[in-house]
Amino acid sequence: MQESLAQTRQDRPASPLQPLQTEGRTREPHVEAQIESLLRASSESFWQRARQQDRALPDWVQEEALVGILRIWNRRGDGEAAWKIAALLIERSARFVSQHIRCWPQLGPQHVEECIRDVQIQMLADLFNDGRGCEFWEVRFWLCLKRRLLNIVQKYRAVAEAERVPTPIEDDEGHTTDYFDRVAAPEGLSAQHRTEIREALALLTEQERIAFVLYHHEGWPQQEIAAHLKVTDRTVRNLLGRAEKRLELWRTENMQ
Amino acid sequence: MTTMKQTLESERDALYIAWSEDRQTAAPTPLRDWIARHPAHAEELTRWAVDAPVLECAAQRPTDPAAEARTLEIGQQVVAEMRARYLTAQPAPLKGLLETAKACGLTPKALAERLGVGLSTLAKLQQRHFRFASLPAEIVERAADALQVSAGQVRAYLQQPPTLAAGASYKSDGVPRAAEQEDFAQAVRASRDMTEEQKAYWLAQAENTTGE
Repeated sequence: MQESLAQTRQDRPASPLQPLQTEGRTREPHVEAQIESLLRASSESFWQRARQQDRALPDWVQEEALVGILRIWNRRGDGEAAWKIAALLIERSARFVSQHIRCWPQLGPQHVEECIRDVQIQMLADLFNDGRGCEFWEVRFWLCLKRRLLNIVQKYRAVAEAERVPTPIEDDEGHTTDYFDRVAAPEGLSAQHRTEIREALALLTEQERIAFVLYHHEGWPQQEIAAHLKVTDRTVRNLLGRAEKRLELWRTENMQ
Repeated sequence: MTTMKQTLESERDALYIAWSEDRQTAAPTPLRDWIARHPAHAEELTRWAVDAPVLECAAQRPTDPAAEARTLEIGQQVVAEMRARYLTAQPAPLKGLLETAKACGLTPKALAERLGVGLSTLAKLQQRHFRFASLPAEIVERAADALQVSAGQVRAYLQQPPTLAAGASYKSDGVPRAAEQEDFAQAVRASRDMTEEQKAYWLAQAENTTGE
């Protein structure tokens, strides 16, 4: 029986942390160390550390570590404590979610609110999902959130675009002025103006933005963009023309 | 989530992380190269590249406390709703420790060994003859591990009133009643089928039990 107790101890995992299921991927060592140390801490000390406001503090608890602990507590059946962490992560991510949704001007106030809600629902569903598809939240929390947010914003933008009456813009066929070189070239603009131009890209329709960014930022020729979008070269020229006019208009109104 | 969907989500996360981190380097890999390497994700890669300039400046915008407060308010509502749904949709209660062990392919002896207790102690756990407050958290966690269920399910089982032994026959004028619940530490001290090492271990654990 002595042997069986020793065996029981050996059978028990040394750490409650489960390895990630995706080959070649692990949590950051400092995240694992934080999880181990927080699991040993008293409840009072845990919450004191987790609720710190200053990210610069050396014992600031990473979001990835909080996700790891949430999942361990949830597996152990301590749903109440797991939901307290979930609420904390909602609080920590509020600014990020707000900024990354409200930067799309075509989303009306109601779409913004629905979009925020959908992002938060998706985030919570993923945090309580122990499956392989959600384990990267313990590796790069903010990038996982950003990817989900992008997917959801994309759906709402499509709805907003379908509902929007487009601003009439003269469509000069064959208009090929290199707007980015002329207006947004790094040497021609201050850093602040470059940022503002990027911000203005959010005003473009989906197709216009794809054509504009691929042409001006990624340097793709128009034929390649046409093949990628499965449209004609002429449509690409029209998209670029409309995008440039929209930005020109925005520039006249905002950058005088 | 199905396995295939999970794998795809995991692949997308891995790709998005790699692409985002590359974008922060001094010489990011052109989008064309990313698409050539991951043709199945061409559409997503393009969308990420096209949306990135807007999102990058979103993070640099001045904070808007009112908008942030509203986002938090929506989040708190979402937490309250999901938490209520989640906590009421807990897994079905355990029928018994031994029944659950059997379903996992564990004999009573094997379960007792996994828990590090004697068979008589296991029988008392099964019949909930211990006051729940006297049980060390460790024994709940060991049972959950061995039975592949959550500690919450084990706790919920052990917190119910004591039962009579299954299959036992009684000769009595009155209705048979379960015995009074006893203290775990006292039962360990009196146990005849636990080793001294096991007793010492569980008595030390029981000492740390807060009784909550």
